[in-house]
Amino acid sequence: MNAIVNSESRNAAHKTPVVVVVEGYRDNWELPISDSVTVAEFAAMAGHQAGISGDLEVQLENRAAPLVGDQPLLGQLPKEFVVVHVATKGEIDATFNFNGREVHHLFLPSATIRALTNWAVGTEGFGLEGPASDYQLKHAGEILEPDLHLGQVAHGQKSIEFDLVLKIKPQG
Amino acid sequence: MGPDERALREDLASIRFRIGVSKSKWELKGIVFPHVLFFVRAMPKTDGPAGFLLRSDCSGYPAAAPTSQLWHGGQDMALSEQDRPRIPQGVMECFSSWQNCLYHPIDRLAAEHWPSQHLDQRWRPDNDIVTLLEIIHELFHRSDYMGATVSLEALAVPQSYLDTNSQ
Repeated sequence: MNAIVNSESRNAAHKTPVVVVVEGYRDNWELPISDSVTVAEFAAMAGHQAGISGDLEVQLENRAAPLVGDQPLLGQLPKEFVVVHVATKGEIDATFNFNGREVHHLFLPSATIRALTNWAVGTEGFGLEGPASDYQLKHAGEILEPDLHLGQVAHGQKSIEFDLVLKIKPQG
Repeated sequence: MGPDERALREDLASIRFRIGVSKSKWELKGIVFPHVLFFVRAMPKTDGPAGFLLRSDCSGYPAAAPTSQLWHGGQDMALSEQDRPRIPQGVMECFSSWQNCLYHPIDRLAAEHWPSQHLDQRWRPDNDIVTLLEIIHELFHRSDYMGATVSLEALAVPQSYLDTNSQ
Protein backbone atom coordinates (compact mmCIF):
# COMPACT_ATOMS: atom_id res chain seq x y z
CA MET A 1 0.00 0.00 0.00
CA ASN A 2 1.39 3.34 -0.94
CA ALA A 3 0.23 5.41 1.95
CA ILE A 4 1.02 5.06 5.61
CA VAL A 5 -2.23 3.52 6.61
CA ASN A 6 -3.87 2.95 9.91
CA SER A 7 -6.27 0.22 8.83
CA GLU A 8 -8.73 0.85 11.65
CA SER A 9 -9.11 4.53 10.87
CA ARG A 10 -9.31 3.70 7.18
CA ASN A 11 -12.20 1.36 7.68
CA ALA A 12 -13.95 3.74 10.02
CA ALA A 13 -13.65 6.89 7.96
CA HIS A 14 -13.21 5.33 4.49
CA LYS A 15 -10.22 7.57 3.95
CA THR A 16 -6.61 6.74 3.24
CA PRO A 17 -3.85 9.02 4.49
CA VAL A 18 -1.42 9.98 1.73
CA VAL A 19 2.00 11.41 2.56
CA VAL A 20 2.56 14.58 0.60
CA VAL A 21 5.09 17.36 0.28
CA VAL A 22 4.29 20.69 -1.31
CA GLU A 23 6.86 22.56 -3.35
CA GLY A 24 8.52 25.22 -1.24
CA TYR A 25 7.93 23.46 2.08
CA ARG A 26 10.33 21.14 3.90
CA ASP A 27 7.72 19.36 6.04
CA ASN A 28 5.73 16.30 5.03
CA TRP A 29 2.00 16.15 5.64
CA GLU A 30 -0.59 13.42 5.74
CA LEU A 31 -3.78 14.09 3.82
CA PRO A 32 -6.59 11.57 4.34
CA ILE A 33 -8.58 11.12 1.13
CA SER A 34 -11.39 8.94 -0.10
CA ASP A 35 -11.04 6.60 -3.05
CA SER A 36 -12.86 8.96 -5.40
CA VAL A 37 -10.63 12.03 -4.93
CA THR A 38 -9.03 12.90 -8.25
CA VAL A 39 -5.47 14.02 -8.79
CA ALA A 40 -6.64 17.58 -9.50
CA GLU A 41 -8.79 17.65 -6.36
CA PHE A 42 -5.90 16.35 -4.29
CA ALA A 43 -3.60 19.04 -5.72
CA ALA A 44 -6.12 21.71 -4.74
CA MET A 45 -6.47 20.24 -1.22
CA ALA A 46 -2.72 20.14 -0.65
CA GLY A 47 -2.25 23.57 -2.16
CA HIS A 48 -4.96 24.99 0.08
CA GLN A 49 -3.33 23.47 3.16
CA ALA A 50 0.04 24.93 2.15
CA GLY A 51 -1.42 28.27 1.16
CA ILE A 52 -0.47 28.14 -2.51
CA SER A 53 -2.71 28.27 -5.54
CA GLY A 54 -2.40 28.33 -9.29
CA ASP A 55 -1.86 25.58 -11.80
CA LEU A 56 -0.80 22.74 -9.53
CA GLU A 57 0.13 19.21 -10.53
CA VAL A 58 0.76 16.00 -8.64
CA GLN A 59 3.99 14.12 -9.16
CA LEU A 60 5.39 10.89 -7.79
CA GLU A 61 8.93 10.66 -6.53
CA ASN A 62 11.43 10.42 -9.41
CA ARG A 63 8.79 9.85 -12.08
CA ALA A 64 9.26 11.48 -15.47
CA ALA A 65 5.75 12.93 -15.78
CA PRO A 66 2.99 14.20 -13.49
CA LEU A 67 -0.17 12.18 -12.83
CA VAL A 68 -3.31 12.60 -14.93
CA GLY A 69 -5.55 15.17 -13.28
CA ASP A 70 -9.04 13.73 -13.79
CA GLN A 71 -8.24 10.22 -12.53
CA PRO A 72 -8.63 9.11 -8.87
CA LEU A 73 -5.31 9.55 -7.09
CA LEU A 74 -5.32 6.35 -5.04
CA GLY A 75 -5.79 4.27 -8.20
CA GLN A 76 -2.60 5.76 -9.66
CA LEU A 77 -0.33 5.16 -6.70
CA PRO A 78 2.14 2.28 -6.94
CA LYS A 79 2.16 -0.65 -4.52
CA GLU A 80 5.40 0.36 -2.88
CA PHE A 81 5.46 3.40 -0.63
CA VAL A 82 6.20 6.70 -2.33
CA VAL A 83 5.88 10.31 -1.24
CA VAL A 84 3.48 12.37 -3.36
CA HIS A 85 4.60 15.83 -4.43
CA VAL A 86 2.35 18.76 -5.28
CA ALA A 87 4.02 21.56 -7.23
CA THR A 88 3.37 24.37 -9.63
CA LYS A 89 3.90 23.43 -13.27
CA GLY A 90 7.43 23.54 -14.56
CA GLU A 91 10.81 22.00 -13.93
CA ILE A 92 13.54 23.36 -11.69
CA ASP A 93 16.90 24.33 -13.19
CA ALA A 94 19.51 22.73 -10.93
CA THR A 95 23.11 23.94 -11.17
CA PHE A 96 25.88 21.77 -9.73
CA ASN A 97 29.37 22.97 -8.77
CA PHE A 98 32.33 20.62 -8.35
CA ASN A 99 36.02 21.54 -8.27
CA GLY A 100 35.49 24.77 -10.21
CA ARG A 101 33.31 23.13 -12.86
CA GLU A 102 29.59 23.72 -13.35
CA VAL A 103 26.82 21.69 -14.98
CA HIS A 104 23.07 22.09 -14.89
CA HIS A 105 19.93 20.18 -15.75
CA LEU A 106 16.14 20.48 -15.48
CA PHE A 107 14.34 18.23 -13.00
CA LEU A 108 10.76 17.93 -11.81
CA PRO A 109 10.30 19.16 -8.22
CA SER A 110 9.61 15.55 -7.16
CA ALA A 111 13.13 14.39 -8.08
CA THR A 112 15.01 13.24 -5.00
CA ILE A 113 18.39 14.54 -3.95
CA ARG A 114 19.69 11.01 -4.55
CA ALA A 115 18.50 11.15 -8.18
CA LEU A 116 20.15 14.55 -8.64
CA THR A 117 23.40 13.24 -7.17
CA ASN A 118 23.32 10.26 -9.50
CA TRP A 119 22.87 12.57 -12.47
CA ALA A 120 25.61 15.00 -11.39
CA VAL A 121 28.16 12.21 -10.82
CA GLY A 122 27.20 10.32 -14.00
CA THR A 123 28.26 10.82 -17.59
CA GLU A 124 25.63 13.49 -18.30
CA GLY A 125 26.97 15.48 -15.37
CA PHE A 126 30.62 15.62 -14.33
CA GLY A 127 31.44 12.05 -15.37
CA LEU A 128 33.24 11.31 -12.12
CA GLU A 129 34.99 8.12 -11.12
CA GLY A 130 33.46 6.04 -8.38
CA PRO A 131 29.82 5.46 -7.47
CA ALA A 132 27.37 8.26 -6.82
CA SER A 133 26.87 6.89 -3.30
CA ASP A 134 30.30 8.30 -2.42
CA TYR A 135 29.05 11.85 -3.04
CA GLN A 136 26.46 14.17 -1.50
CA LEU A 137 24.89 17.53 -2.29
CA LYS A 138 25.12 20.68 -0.21
CA HIS A 139 22.93 23.74 -0.50
CA ALA A 140 23.57 26.92 1.46
CA GLY A 141 26.00 24.98 3.64
CA GLU A 142 23.51 22.23 4.50
CA ILE A 143 24.23 18.62 3.62
CA LEU A 144 21.01 17.36 2.10
CA GLU A 145 19.40 14.05 2.96
CA PRO A 146 19.10 11.79 -0.09
CA ASP A 147 15.33 11.27 0.06
CA LEU A 148 14.44 14.97 0.15
CA HIS A 149 12.66 16.19 -2.96
CA LEU A 150 14.18 18.99 -5.03
CA GLY A 151 11.02 21.01 -4.49
CA GLN A 152 11.51 20.79 -0.72
CA VAL A 153 14.83 22.62 -0.85
CA ALA A 154 14.31 25.11 -3.70
CA HIS A 155 12.25 27.55 -1.58
CA GLY A 156 9.48 27.65 -4.21
CA GLN A 157 11.89 28.90 -6.87
CA LYS A 158 12.48 27.28 -10.25
CA SER A 159 16.27 27.42 -10.00
CA ILE A 160 18.75 26.32 -7.36
CA GLU A 161 22.49 25.81 -6.97
CA PHE A 162 24.25 22.87 -5.30
CA ASP A 163 27.78 21.94 -4.36
CA LEU A 164 28.69 18.33 -5.05
CA VAL A 165 31.08 17.02 -2.38
CA LEU A 166 32.60 13.70 -1.40
CA LYS A 167 31.22 12.13 1.74
CA ILE A 168 33.64 12.32 4.61
CA LYS A 169 35.47 9.29 5.87
CA PRO A 170 36.74 10.52 9.25
CA GLN A 171 40.40 9.78 9.85
CA GLY A 172 42.47 9.94 13.04
CA MET B 1 8.72 12.14 31.43
CA GLY B 2 11.40 14.75 30.82
CA PRO B 3 11.47 17.17 27.90
CA ASP B 4 14.21 15.21 26.11
CA GLU B 5 12.23 11.96 26.20
CA ARG B 6 9.04 13.79 25.20
CA ALA B 7 10.82 15.42 22.23
CA LEU B 8 12.29 12.10 21.17
CA ARG B 9 8.94 10.31 21.32
CA GLU B 10 7.34 13.10 19.28
CA ASP B 11 9.98 12.72 16.59
CA LEU B 12 9.62 8.94 16.58
CA ALA B 13 5.91 9.46 15.86
CA SER B 14 6.56 12.01 13.10
CA ILE B 15 5.72 11.46 9.45
CA ARG B 16 9.40 12.00 8.69
CA PHE B 17 10.39 9.02 10.84
CA ARG B 18 7.54 6.86 9.52
CA ILE B 19 8.56 7.54 5.91
CA GLY B 20 11.87 5.81 6.67
CA VAL B 21 9.98 2.91 8.20
CA SER B 22 7.69 2.69 5.17
CA LYS B 23 10.75 2.67 2.91
CA SER B 24 12.20 -0.17 5.02
CA LYS B 25 15.22 1.92 5.96
CA TRP B 26 14.85 1.55 9.73
CA GLU B 27 12.58 0.32 12.52
CA LEU B 28 12.14 1.34 16.12
CA LYS B 29 12.78 -1.69 18.34
CA GLY B 30 12.23 -0.14 21.76
CA ILE B 31 12.91 2.67 24.19
CA VAL B 32 14.50 2.40 27.62
CA PHE B 33 15.15 6.09 27.98
CA PRO B 34 17.67 7.61 27.54
CA HIS B 35 18.43 4.65 25.29
CA VAL B 36 16.53 3.87 22.12
CA LEU B 37 17.14 0.82 19.96
CA PHE B 38 16.77 0.82 16.16
CA PHE B 39 17.23 -1.68 13.38
CA VAL B 40 18.88 0.01 10.39
CA ARG B 41 18.85 -1.85 7.08
CA ALA B 42 22.10 -2.48 5.23
CA MET B 43 22.93 -3.05 1.59
CA PRO B 44 22.28 -6.73 0.79
CA LYS B 45 25.52 -8.71 0.72
CA THR B 46 26.13 -12.45 0.46
CA ASP B 47 28.23 -12.22 3.60
CA GLY B 48 26.19 -9.67 5.41
CA PRO B 49 23.16 -9.26 7.66
CA ALA B 50 19.92 -7.57 6.68
CA GLY B 51 21.02 -4.72 8.91
CA PHE B 52 22.33 -3.83 12.33
CA LEU B 53 20.94 -2.80 15.68
CA LEU B 54 21.88 0.72 16.74
CA ARG B 55 21.55 1.84 20.34
CA SER B 56 21.46 5.60 20.83
CA ASP B 57 21.69 7.52 24.10
CA CYS B 58 19.38 10.49 23.63
CA SER B 59 19.98 12.36 26.91
CA GLY B 60 19.33 16.05 26.35
CA TYR B 61 17.69 15.46 22.95
CA PRO B 62 17.44 17.37 20.68
CA ALA B 63 19.67 20.14 22.04
CA ALA B 64 22.40 17.57 22.60
CA ALA B 65 23.41 15.06 19.94
CA PRO B 66 22.69 11.39 20.49
CA THR B 67 25.69 9.14 21.04
CA SER B 68 25.38 5.68 19.56
CA GLN B 69 26.89 2.24 19.20
CA LEU B 70 26.14 -0.79 17.10
CA TRP B 71 24.49 -3.25 19.44
CA HIS B 72 24.42 -7.02 19.97
CA GLY B 73 20.83 -7.63 20.95
CA GLY B 74 21.29 -11.17 22.23
CA GLN B 75 24.05 -10.13 24.60
CA ASP B 76 22.63 -6.64 25.19
CA MET B 77 26.05 -5.06 24.76
CA ALA B 78 28.05 -3.26 22.12
CA LEU B 79 28.64 -5.33 18.98
CA SER B 80 32.16 -6.74 19.04
CA GLU B 81 34.55 -5.17 16.56
CA GLN B 82 34.90 -8.40 14.59
CA ASP B 83 31.17 -8.34 13.85
CA ARG B 84 30.99 -4.72 12.68
CA PRO B 85 30.54 -3.53 9.07
CA ARG B 86 33.62 -4.21 7.01
CA ILE B 87 35.36 -2.48 4.11
CA PRO B 88 38.41 -3.79 2.23
CA GLN B 89 40.72 -2.13 4.76
CA GLY B 90 39.00 -3.71 7.77
CA VAL B 91 36.23 -2.40 9.99
CA MET B 92 34.47 0.65 8.54
CA GLU B 93 36.14 3.56 10.31
CA CYS B 94 32.89 5.08 11.61
CA PHE B 95 32.27 1.87 13.57
CA SER B 96 35.78 1.28 14.91
CA SER B 97 36.02 0.63 18.63
CA TRP B 98 38.15 3.67 19.52
CA GLN B 99 35.57 4.67 22.16
CA ASN B 100 32.05 3.65 23.13
CA CYS B 101 30.46 5.71 20.35
CA LEU B 102 30.44 6.21 16.61
CA TYR B 103 33.61 7.57 15.03
CA HIS B 104 31.70 10.29 13.21
CA PRO B 105 31.20 14.02 13.94
CA ILE B 106 27.42 13.54 14.26
CA ASP B 107 28.03 11.63 17.51
CA ARG B 108 27.94 13.62 20.76
CA LEU B 109 31.11 12.04 22.17
CA ALA B 110 33.05 11.86 18.92
CA ALA B 111 32.42 15.43 17.77
CA GLU B 112 35.06 16.89 20.06
CA HIS B 113 37.65 14.70 18.37
CA TRP B 114 37.61 17.13 15.43
CA PRO B 115 37.43 20.58 17.12
CA SER B 116 37.92 22.52 13.89
CA GLN B 117 37.00 19.97 11.22
CA HIS B 118 33.78 18.58 9.81
CA LEU B 119 31.74 21.35 11.44
CA ASP B 120 29.02 20.95 8.83
CA GLN B 121 28.69 17.27 9.80
CA ARG B 122 27.99 17.98 13.46
CA TRP B 123 24.64 17.75 15.16
CA ARG B 124 22.60 20.93 15.20
CA PRO B 125 19.78 21.56 17.68
CA ASP B 126 17.32 21.64 14.78
CA ASN B 127 18.33 18.12 13.74
CA ASP B 128 16.21 15.16 14.71
CA ILE B 129 16.64 11.43 15.15
CA VAL B 130 16.04 10.94 11.41
CA THR B 131 19.19 12.98 10.71
CA LEU B 132 21.21 10.37 12.58
CA LEU B 133 19.40 7.41 11.06
CA GLU B 134 19.87 8.75 7.51
CA ILE B 135 23.63 8.99 8.12
CA ILE B 136 23.83 5.46 9.51
CA HIS B 137 21.69 4.09 6.67
CA GLU B 138 23.96 5.77 4.12
CA LEU B 139 27.06 4.30 5.78
CA PHE B 140 25.58 0.82 5.40
CA HIS B 141 25.10 1.58 1.70
CA ARG B 142 28.57 2.93 0.99
CA SER B 143 30.13 1.51 -2.15
CA ASP B 144 32.98 -0.11 -0.21
CA TYR B 145 30.72 -1.78 2.39
CA MET B 146 31.44 -5.52 2.25
CA GLY B 147 29.09 -6.96 4.87
CA ALA B 148 29.74 -8.39 8.31
CA THR B 149 29.64 -11.68 10.18
CA VAL B 150 26.71 -10.91 12.42
CA SER B 151 24.74 -13.80 13.90
CA LEU B 152 20.94 -13.80 14.00
CA GLU B 153 21.24 -13.66 17.78
CA ALA B 154 22.88 -10.25 17.45
CA LEU B 155 19.70 -8.91 15.84
CA ALA B 156 17.44 -10.15 18.63
CA VAL B 157 15.78 -7.43 20.65
CA PRO B 158 16.80 -7.49 24.34
CA GLN B 159 14.00 -8.29 26.76
CA SER B 160 14.31 -4.90 28.46
CA TYR B 161 13.30 -3.20 25.19
CA LEU B 162 10.54 -5.70 24.44
CA ASP B 163 9.05 -4.96 27.85
CA THR B 164 8.71 -1.28 26.97
CA ASN B 165 7.45 -1.56 23.42
CA SER B 166 3.86 -1.08 24.44
CA GLN B 167 4.57 2.14 26.30
